[in-house]
Parts: sequence; C-alpha cells; structure tokens
Amino acid sequence: MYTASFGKGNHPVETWRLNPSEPTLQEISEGHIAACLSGEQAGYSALYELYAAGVYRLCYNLLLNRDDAEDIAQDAFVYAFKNLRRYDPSKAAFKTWLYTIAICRCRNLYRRNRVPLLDIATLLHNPLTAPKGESPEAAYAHSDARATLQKALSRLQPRLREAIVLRYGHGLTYREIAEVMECPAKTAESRVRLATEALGGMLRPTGAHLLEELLSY
Amino acid sequence: MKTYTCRRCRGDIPAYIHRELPIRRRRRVHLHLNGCAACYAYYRQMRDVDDELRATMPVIGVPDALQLARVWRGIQAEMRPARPAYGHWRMRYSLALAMMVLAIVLPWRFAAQQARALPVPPTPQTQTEVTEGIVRHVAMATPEAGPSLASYAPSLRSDRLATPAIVRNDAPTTIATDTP
Ligand SMILES: [Zn+2]
Repeated sequence: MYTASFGKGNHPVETWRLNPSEPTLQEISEGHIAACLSGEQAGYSALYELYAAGVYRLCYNLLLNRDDAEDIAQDAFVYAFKNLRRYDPSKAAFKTWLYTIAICRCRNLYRRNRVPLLDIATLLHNPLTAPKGESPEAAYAHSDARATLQKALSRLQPRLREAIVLRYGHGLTYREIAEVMECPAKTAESRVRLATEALGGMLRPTGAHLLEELLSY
Repeated sequence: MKTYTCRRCRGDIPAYIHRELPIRRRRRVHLHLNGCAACYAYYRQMRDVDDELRATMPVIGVPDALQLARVWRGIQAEMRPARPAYGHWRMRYSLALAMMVLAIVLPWRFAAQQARALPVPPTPQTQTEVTEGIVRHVAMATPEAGPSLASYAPSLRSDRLATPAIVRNDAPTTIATDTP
C-alpha cells in the first residue's frame, strides 16, 4: 500500500542540487525506472513520490484549475508508466521527459477550453487554506499576491505562460525549457522575457509591493 | 565592434538579473545601464517582477497529501489490467471457435451416421444370381444328400430377402468357379 509523504512543497531538484555528494535526482530516477522495468511495483510509487508534487503543480500553473490539474497529472503519470521502456536517459532527464508529457496533455486541454477555467477561490481572492503562523494581514497579502499572479497568468498566451511557469515555478534552465517546449533555447529565453514584461504590466498595483507595505506597518 | 543598442541590452537583462551572462557581456550591460535611464528603469521593473515571481510562483498550486493520494489511486486504477474487457473478448473468441468447430464436425458426423444407418440393399439381380447359385450349389455340391435337400430349393428361391444371409455364411468360395 502506498503511503503519501507530501505537503512540504519543496521541489526535489533543489534538494538534490544542494548536496553534490548525494546521488542526483536523475540517478535516483534511473534506479527506480530499472526497478519498474524488472516488475517491482515499488518502483512506480517511488517515482510518483519524487515527481508527483512537481507534475501536479506544473499542471495547476498551466490550467489554473484543481480538477483539471489532477486529471492531467494522473494522465501524464499513467502514460509515462506505460511507456517507461520508450524513455531514453541519453536524450533527456526523466523530469524533462515527464514534464513534456504533462505539458502536451495540458495543451490538448486548453486548446479545447480556450480560456483557463480559474478556480472560484482564485476568482474571489478567497484562500482555501492559509499558512499557519501568519498574521491575517500577511496571509491576506500572500493570498492576494497568489490570486493576482494566477489571474495574470491566465491572461498570458499559453506559450509564454509555459515558459514563465517552467522558469520560475520549477527552476528550469533555458536549455531545459527549450527541451520541454521543443523549441530553440533562444526562443525559450525570449519567451521568458516577454512573459516577464507582460506580467510586469499586470502585477504593478498589487503583489510584492502591497506585501512589503503591509508588512512594514 | 557593433554598438550595444538599447534593444540588445534589454534582451540581455533577464540573464543579467539571473547572473547567467559571461563576464564581458555582463560588463557591457552594466555600462549601458549606468548611462541609459530608460534601460535602467526597464531593468528595475524587470528585477521587481523577477523578485515577485521567485517568491510567489513556487507556492501557487502546491498540492496537499490528499490530492496526491487521490491522483495515485487514479493511476493505480488505470494501471490495473482490464480484466472484464479481456474476459469479454476471450468469451467471444471461445464462442466463435466453438461454433466453427461445430460447423466442421457436425456435418461430417451426420454424414458418417447416415452412411452407417442405411446399408446398401443388394440388387434383386444379384440376389437372384446368388440364390440361383445356391440352388445350383446346393444341388451340385451335395449329390449324396439326395432329393431331400433338393426339395427345399423352391422354398429358398421364393424367400428372396431372408436367404442371402444364410447363403453368405454357408456359401463356399467355389460358387464362382462352379458357375458356368
Ligand atoms: Zn538603453
């Protein structure tokens, strides 16, 4: 039986990059993939535990809807698990491969929906869960910053949204973004810049500045 | 050397902010920003957005354990081999195969049974010949038996269906040779 140990919100990449003496995320993944291919069920749950939070978050950032994000994350994992034999470690990192699958499915969905179906909580600036230990003002400012950013993301062109989410939400390099988005690295870089410019215009009145003002009182 | 335009400088600013530029290009951006107010304003704006995105983006859509457990259950359900569908097809194929076997075997068995149930009756001509042969045989092969056996001949001749069996059992191979 699989037991979940999520909820901290830390992305595994950063964890492994901080300590060079430990095996990389890719090395760990390859071990789990080998286990899966030799018929060990534990390999699948180990891979899921490594990437589930990241894949879900990626789907949510692109679709901005919880139900859709869950469905697409599930779809992406099922496809990846059923096609593990096709994965070639010499061509791409497992994370990049998995993200490519997830993004492909997100594109199919927002091609059908056209406009992202934002969660009601986001639309009403109503945080479903407030972080513990935060003052009401700080909690409101944080949730407000999140809601504003989500609205701004929903107004971005899909390709720009993908680039900015991969860059800032998942810490991918321009080369990795290019791999996931299947475009040249220069294109990935200019998409990130264009998205940053567009968001700059939309985020001005609120967000970090409002947070700074509220916290300074 | 080409002039370092505002457009080229702005293209380099994200990498400048992320400290991903080679030293020479970084120095060029730095020099340009010192002398160009418009690009410096652009740089400040981009840096603020960058700070905001770094702080906010990673916390958007962080799933809780329940959500991830729900997704995992969905994955497990989809990864399970689809037994009912397989059983359904297996039953269909088995039924089709059984019908094919029956279609081949039944007519063959039926034909074989028919062949056994309906023996070919001897033609009257043969019977007559045989009967006559017996009569002759009986008459010729047993001269010492005398008229007592020969007197039965008319009754044998009249009973055409019953006699061949008796005749076949008793008839020696000499029938053909004895017949002229
Ligand atoms: Zn300039």
